[in-house]
Amino acid sequence: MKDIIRPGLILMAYGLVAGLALGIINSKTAPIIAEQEEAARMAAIEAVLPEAVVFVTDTADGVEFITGYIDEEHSEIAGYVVTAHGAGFSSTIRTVVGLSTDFTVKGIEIVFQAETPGLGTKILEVRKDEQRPWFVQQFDGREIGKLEVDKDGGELVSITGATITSRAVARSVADAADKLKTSLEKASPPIERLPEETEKNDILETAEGGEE
Amino acid sequence: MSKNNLFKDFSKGILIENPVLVLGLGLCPALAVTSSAVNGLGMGVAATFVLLMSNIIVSLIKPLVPPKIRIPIFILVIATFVTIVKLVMAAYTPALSEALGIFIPLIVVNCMILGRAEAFASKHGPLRSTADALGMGLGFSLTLVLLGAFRELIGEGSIFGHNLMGSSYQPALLMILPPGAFLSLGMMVALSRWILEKTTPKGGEC
Repeated sequence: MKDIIRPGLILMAYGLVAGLALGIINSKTAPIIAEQEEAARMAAIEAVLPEAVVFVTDTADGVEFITGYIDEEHSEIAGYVVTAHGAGFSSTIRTVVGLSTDFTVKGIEIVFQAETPGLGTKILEVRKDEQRPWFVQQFDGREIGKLEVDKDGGELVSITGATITSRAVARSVADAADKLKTSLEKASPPIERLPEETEKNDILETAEGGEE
Repeated sequence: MSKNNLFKDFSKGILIENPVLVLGLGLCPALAVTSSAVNGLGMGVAATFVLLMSNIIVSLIKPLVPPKIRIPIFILVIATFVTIVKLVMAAYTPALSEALGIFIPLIVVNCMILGRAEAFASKHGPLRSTADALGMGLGFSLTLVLLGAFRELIGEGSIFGHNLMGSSYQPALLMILPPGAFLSLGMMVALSRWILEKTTPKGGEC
C-alpha cells in the first residue's frame, strides 16, 4: 500500500509544480498570442481587399462576412471578405477570401494550416523574387465557378504530393464564396450602401440551392 | 572530472553514438520531417533546446525522483518544457512558430529526449548532462539536415531552397514522400557504419 501512495503523492507534487508553471506562462502569453492572431487576421483581410479602407462586419442569411468600403463615408463597396474552412489532410485550413462585388476572387490568404511539412505546407511556398505564395496567386481574378484543381478537371495547378490540401483550399474557397453570393442575393434588395440596411435584411432562413 | 571527459561526453553524440544513426533514437521525427533541409534544421534546433533543458533539470532533480516513477516524471518534465517553448514562441516569435508548426509538439514523443534523460542525465551531474545534450543535439541536427538536404536535392533539385540541378532536372518525387525517407535513412546508416568501421582500429572497441 505504501508503495502505491507515496510515489503517487510525489508524482502529484511534480504535476502540481509543472501545472503551476504552465498556468503562469499561459496567462502571460495567451493575450499576446490572441493579439497576434487578430493582427494576422486583419492583415490578411487588408491584403485580400487592398482598395478598401473601412471594414464592417455583417451577416446576411446567417452567413458572416465583412464588407469593405473604399472610403470612410461608406459611399462605395470595394468588395466582401469571407473566411473559408476546408478539411485538409491533417488540419482545418482557414482561408480569408476577398471577393469583388461581382463575385470574382480578388485574392485569398491562408491564415491557418497545420498540413504535412514539406508537402501540404507548400500552399505557403513563395517562389524566388515573388511576394505571395504561388499556389494562392492562382486564385486571383477567378470566377467562383472556375475554382477547381487540375486533378478535378479545373485550371488551378495543385501541389505535387498534396492533392488533398490543394483541393481543400479550392473547394472551401468556392464553397464560401458561393454561400455568400446565395445569401446576399436572397437578402434582397442586394446590399446597398449603408450597413444598417443590410442588417434589416438579415433573414435567418437556411440557404437553398446554389450549393454543391 | 577532467576536461577530456567532458569533451568525450560531447563528441560521442556526433558520430560514435549518434542518436539516429547508431542508437536508433528519434527515428519518427527524423523520417517524418526531413523532406527539406530547412525542416531538418528546424526540428534539430528545437529538439536540441528541449533536450538540453530536460537533461539539466533531470540531472538536478535526480535525488528527488523515486526510481519506480522516474519515467512519468521525466515525461512530465519534457512535456512541460515543450509546452513552454511552444507558448513562448507563439507569443514572441510568431514567424518562427509558424515555420516550425507541428515540429514543436512532436518533440514530446521524440524518444531521443526521454532516452537521454533515462540513460545519461539520471546517472550524471548537470555539467556532464549538458555536454551530453549538446553533443546528442548536434548529432541529431546534423543527421536531420543531411537527410533533409539529400532528400530535397533528389526530390526537388534544390538544397535550402536554392536550385542546384538546373531547370532541366526532373525531380524524383519519391524522395520527398515517406518511402524516400526510409531509403535515405537506410543509406545514411550504412554510410555511417562504413565510416565507423574504417576509422576504428580492427578488433578495437569504440
